Amino acid sequence: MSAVAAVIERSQASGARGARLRVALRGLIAIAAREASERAALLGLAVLGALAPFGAPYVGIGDRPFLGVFAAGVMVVAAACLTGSSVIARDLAEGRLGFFLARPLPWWAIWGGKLLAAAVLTLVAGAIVVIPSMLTGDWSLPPTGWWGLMGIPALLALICGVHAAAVGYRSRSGLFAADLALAALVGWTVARTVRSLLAAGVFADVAFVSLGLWILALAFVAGSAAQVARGRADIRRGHRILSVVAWSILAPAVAAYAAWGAWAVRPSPRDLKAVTSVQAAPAGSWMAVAGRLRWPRPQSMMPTLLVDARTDRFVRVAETWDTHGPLFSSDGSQAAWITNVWSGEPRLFVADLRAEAPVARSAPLPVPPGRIVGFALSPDGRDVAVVQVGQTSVFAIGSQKPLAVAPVHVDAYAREVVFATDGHVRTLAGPQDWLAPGVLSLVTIDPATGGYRVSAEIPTRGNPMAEWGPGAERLAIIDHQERRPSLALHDGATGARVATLAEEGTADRLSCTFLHDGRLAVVEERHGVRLRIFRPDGAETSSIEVAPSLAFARAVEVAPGVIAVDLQHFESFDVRATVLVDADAGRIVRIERGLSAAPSRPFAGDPSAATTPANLFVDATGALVKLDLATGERRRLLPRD
Amino acid sequence: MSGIAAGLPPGPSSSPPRPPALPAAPALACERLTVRYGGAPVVEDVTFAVPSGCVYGLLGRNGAGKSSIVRCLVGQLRPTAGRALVLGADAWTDRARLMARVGVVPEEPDAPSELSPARLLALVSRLHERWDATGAEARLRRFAVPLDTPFHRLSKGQKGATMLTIALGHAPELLILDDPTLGLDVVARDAVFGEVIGELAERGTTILVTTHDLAAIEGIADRVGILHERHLVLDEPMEAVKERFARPLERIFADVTSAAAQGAA
Repeated sequence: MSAVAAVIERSQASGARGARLRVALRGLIAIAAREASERAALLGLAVLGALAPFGAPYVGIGDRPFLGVFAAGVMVVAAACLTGSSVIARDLAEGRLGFFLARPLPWWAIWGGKLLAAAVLTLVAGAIVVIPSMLTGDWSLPPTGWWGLMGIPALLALICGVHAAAVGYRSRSGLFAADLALAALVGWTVARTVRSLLAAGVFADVAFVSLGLWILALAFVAGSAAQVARGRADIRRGHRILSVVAWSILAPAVAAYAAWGAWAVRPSPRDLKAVTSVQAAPAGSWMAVAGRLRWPRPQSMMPTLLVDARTDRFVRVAETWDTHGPLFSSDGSQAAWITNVWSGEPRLFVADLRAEAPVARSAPLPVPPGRIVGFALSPDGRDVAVVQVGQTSVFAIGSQKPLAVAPVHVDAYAREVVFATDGHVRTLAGPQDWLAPGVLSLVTIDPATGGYRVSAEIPTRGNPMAEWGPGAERLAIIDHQERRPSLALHDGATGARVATLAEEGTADRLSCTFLHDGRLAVVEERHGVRLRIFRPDGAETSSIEVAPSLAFARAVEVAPGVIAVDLQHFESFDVRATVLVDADAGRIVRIERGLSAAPSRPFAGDPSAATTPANLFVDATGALVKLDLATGERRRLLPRD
Repeated sequence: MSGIAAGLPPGPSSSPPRPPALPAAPALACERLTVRYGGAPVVEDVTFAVPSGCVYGLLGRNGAGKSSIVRCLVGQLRPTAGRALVLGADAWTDRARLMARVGVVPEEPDAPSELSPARLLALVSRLHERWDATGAEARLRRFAVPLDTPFHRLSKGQKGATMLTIALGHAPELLILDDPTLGLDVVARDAVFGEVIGELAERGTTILVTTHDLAAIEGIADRVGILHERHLVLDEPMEAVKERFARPLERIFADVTSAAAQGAA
């Protein structure tokens, strides 16, 4: 009997729960409908917003596609702010939330109804504005996944964030000042972390931004829910609860983000997953290494490190793509580099590599603000030459005043500058036109006197690419790499043409590299790859067929007299190989598959790099290896296991 | 039966004989209830119980703490200490469930201001499981409340009548009225006390009413409590109070509160 009674009791309880749930859901919808109907005027505003893009171009304001999306964005933000600030906060401030709390509705039905109204109104207002733009083909809906990753969390964060601010403001409590102070602190922390990560080359991917938006949305949604659930009609208590919940989610998240950001931008050689570029110092065991990092370090980051191959010493340089260098002095005891070369606020750093624990220290950079397109370190490591668009400067490291400034115009993204053996600094000025013929001015700067002169005017057929030889005694210029390239050898001091090494049209593609002794290795591609060696006077000493097909090749001297010809597509499209050639004997020594010789971009632009045979290779897995040229045995240097 | 009372819904107990003001299980109780706002006490250690079917008049000056007690009893304010019990359940934790059995008329009418009484009734009818739509509309008509005028344009009396109608629409077992006659004229006040509350009381509905209107409550309350400066200084059956003090309630209130003030001094 009692069992039957229990069953009946359970059944009744279940029925009562079901009835309460039905009432709650009906109440949620009813509240949402009421809130929406109260703010229906917003949709009228949206209609006006929808018409604006079609009328604005007639009065000379912007173009229709841009205005359509812009107006929709403004409408969504405005609607979110208007609804978010009023649906609950205004009721609370005006003592009207009690009307709903006096009904048999759970808190979530009241809160959900109001939040649903705000979200629907915001979306509908945005849709009204953007639909005409979609019909005219100016804009199309983002992919479905975008809404889950970005759209929904952004909308929730915006509506509930504005709601939180409105509750704080309307509560007139001192806690709101604390909220504002915390918000400022959090904003500053995030901005600082983002700036630091961007400077280090860490670009937030969609998943990361989405995670941040979801955390933000979670904090405000949970805060507002707790506020209604636990604060109910008491706005001050509700504000306190909202603040506690929101900050207990946001503060640890931001602290964790800041901590991760600080940790992420301080990689060590042990964090390297794959080496992408490497450059050995002319002497000693230091090298500059750029590479990708192991998870959980940021995957978009490609830092450059100075690494001592013999010990565990290292120096963090900077993010690779916004940095010139590092460059080494000829004895390998000093390195220098310039960061922020694109941002217009460049900074010079030097590191004394003889120190027991070398560190990067900032040094004055006495040049005007602006992009740095070229940079050189003197062989003794004392002076620096910097090429900017409007001038080339030479100064002693540590000095606030340049030794010499040549106000020559360089219209190029990158332009080499070199210290010659006679103590002069040489560079090429003039426009770098991709298509039209032009003239390169050979500029010689004398740091001793502070003077400069244009030593020669070198005509080019267009898009010239220059390669300086050791001591800047020779200059090789490839004209028009894209179309019937040609190659000429010039005297580095006078600019006089020494020899034409490849006539226009003899090759589809050309590249060249000076050897440490001044000889020039030229790779010609046309129906195959051919390596040609020239003496400094332009005389050809050997010519070797390296590969029978086009392979996007380049040459690097990996040991004195041994040239590695890197072939991007060897035998088949996806096979990389390096062909080792004895330049003196004029024969192929061996072929190594899956290897690429160092130096490699972005360090290859450094003139000293091209003349430092270092026997360094990067294999297909990104490991940096030394190669026994006789046996082909590979010794792994990085990443260290 | 008067015109206004004629539209009242049947109470939980439809048998007319009014129960004597004797406690059974209390319909409503405060147990050592304390409320503080930002540390400042507004109600301190208040304990009283309202038996089922009783009309309880909670009296007190402005700021005595009446509305805070009411807000605790309807589950909108969490007590700093103590408990507010309604129909045997905790008012804070069981608010949503209790509100199906409780009608509330707040001191300040809090209905959405842009809605007309007719639309308010339509809205509220969807928020309750059971709702007497015909009776509610008839009651509004009897109160002479314009059905299509937005709530914020109604007079104070019309707003009060609308709120009372909303509170009664689901036939509550317990009615909580927070100063329902504040700002009403004499006719409207008599309608509320004399007809509506009186009629409901006769049907056995438990009523808690806070008011300044001592003369009106004197005739209908079974039990009174007097709040003075956050404390409950008197809680007795009306008959016992009258017998003990042998004075009108207004005089009793004045004497009790001044005695409490002297005692505190």
